[in-house]
Amino acid sequence: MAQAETDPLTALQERLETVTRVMTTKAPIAQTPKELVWTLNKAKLYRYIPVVPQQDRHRVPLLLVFALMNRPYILDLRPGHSFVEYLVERGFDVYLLDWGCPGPEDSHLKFDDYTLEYMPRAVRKIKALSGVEEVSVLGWCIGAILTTIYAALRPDDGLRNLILLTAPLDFSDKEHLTFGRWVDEKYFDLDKVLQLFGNMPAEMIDYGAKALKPVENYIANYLKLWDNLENPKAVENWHAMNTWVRDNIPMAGGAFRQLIVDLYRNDRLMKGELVIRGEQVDLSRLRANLLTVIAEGDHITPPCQSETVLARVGSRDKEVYRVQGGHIGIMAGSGAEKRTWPHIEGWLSSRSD
Amino acid sequence: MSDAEPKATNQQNLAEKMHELRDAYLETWSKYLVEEVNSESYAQASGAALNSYLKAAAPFKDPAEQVILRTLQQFHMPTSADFAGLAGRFTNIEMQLDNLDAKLDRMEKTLAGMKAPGSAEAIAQQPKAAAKTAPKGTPARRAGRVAAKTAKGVRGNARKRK
Repeated sequence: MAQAETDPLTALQERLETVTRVMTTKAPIAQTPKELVWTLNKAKLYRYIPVVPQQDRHRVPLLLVFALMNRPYILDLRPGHSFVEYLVERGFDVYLLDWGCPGPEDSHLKFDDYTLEYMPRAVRKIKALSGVEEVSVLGWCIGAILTTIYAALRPDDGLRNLILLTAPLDFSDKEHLTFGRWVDEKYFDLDKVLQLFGNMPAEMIDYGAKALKPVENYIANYLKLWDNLENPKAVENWHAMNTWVRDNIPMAGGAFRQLIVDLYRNDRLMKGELVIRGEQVDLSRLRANLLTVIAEGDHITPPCQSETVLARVGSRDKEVYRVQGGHIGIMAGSGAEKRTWPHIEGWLSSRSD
Repeated sequence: MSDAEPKATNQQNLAEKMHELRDAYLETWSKYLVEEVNSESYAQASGAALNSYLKAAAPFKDPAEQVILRTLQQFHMPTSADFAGLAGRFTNIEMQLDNLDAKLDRMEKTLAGMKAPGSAEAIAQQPKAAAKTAPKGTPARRAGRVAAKTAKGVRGNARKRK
């Protein structure tokens, strides 16, 4: 009886210790073995060590491109729940372009640099290393903007397959774009912000992303942890995700200015008015096979931002895949390996040999 | 024991009901706040808050930077501008190295292509070898000499094009 009375206290202590541990330490993430194969400024290109014999591997390598303001290891979150690991085990030659963390000296970097300097060089390196003249690219969030621009500007670079995840490309529907409302020139003084900070601070971007769903991000997220403290797998998932969520990076000032002025305020990409290093971005020049993945419950990139691109591109082989879930959840949530990953893998494998 | 079981079940039911109530309450709040942050009034309020922060912080930025700059210069230490310039130079060097790497790759590929069967080099070497091994005066020896001359022409033209 005395044992039964002390147990709740011990249990509470254990629960509090677990909460403290997962909120104050970093989870072991991005564990899939990889090698650094190329660098430029802060950007690094990694090649994941293949585990499938060469003769059984898919011929066309895959390049993963994530957003500029978060770490790309969300794609390789933790062993047993990693998109990268999933693809490597299924015979893909996987590369990851990590943009790195821009310093004050990089505040001038623009989409122009990322799409016409960094990406073509990384793609060339991949082609040289794999010995294949074609490549597939997967772009997620702002990574999808960059890959779309690159694919439209350099259609002859050997881009065979393009996968866009939650791609914010169409900024015409102002009613559904909360970010668009916040950064309207009436309220948001972009010049002053960049004059003061140089780059867009990570904390401000993080606040913006979390404030879109304040209850979920500031309250429900922690209650979810508390409710699942008895489930070690759920706790480790939460720990890994929290490690990623807290690890934000600033966005280069030049690129942030383009995101706000050219895209959010003027929708120049869809209107065909976006100019990158003097070249007009014409989406009809994008000819790669295209898969667009849309998250139905995405508050950061509502579906209306990703749907219309299919009608503008010149690709003959194009498909839209809708999946229940949020901006990150569709790729890193518990249901990702049952829905999103198999669909992407199936689509890609039939186009990679 | 028989009394304890229903008591535990009752407590569990109560806890579940509390959870349900809590989740329903949070969902209501969530919907309300999602609509609220998507309103013009929120955008205006957050913009005003940001502007007041910028107004408060901006006047200190330039003087603080000037003080740091002068201090660094007095101690003959590199400034942030020096570091930025250096970083830019390093990036340019990296790009030049990358260009060289690309050129080397192209050369390697060209050389590999030349050695591959069916390439101009291989065609040039084949007839020469055939001509040497074939007995003097035979058609094979004559054909080899003609083919070698033709291949030489092909290589010469390729060089001119470059």
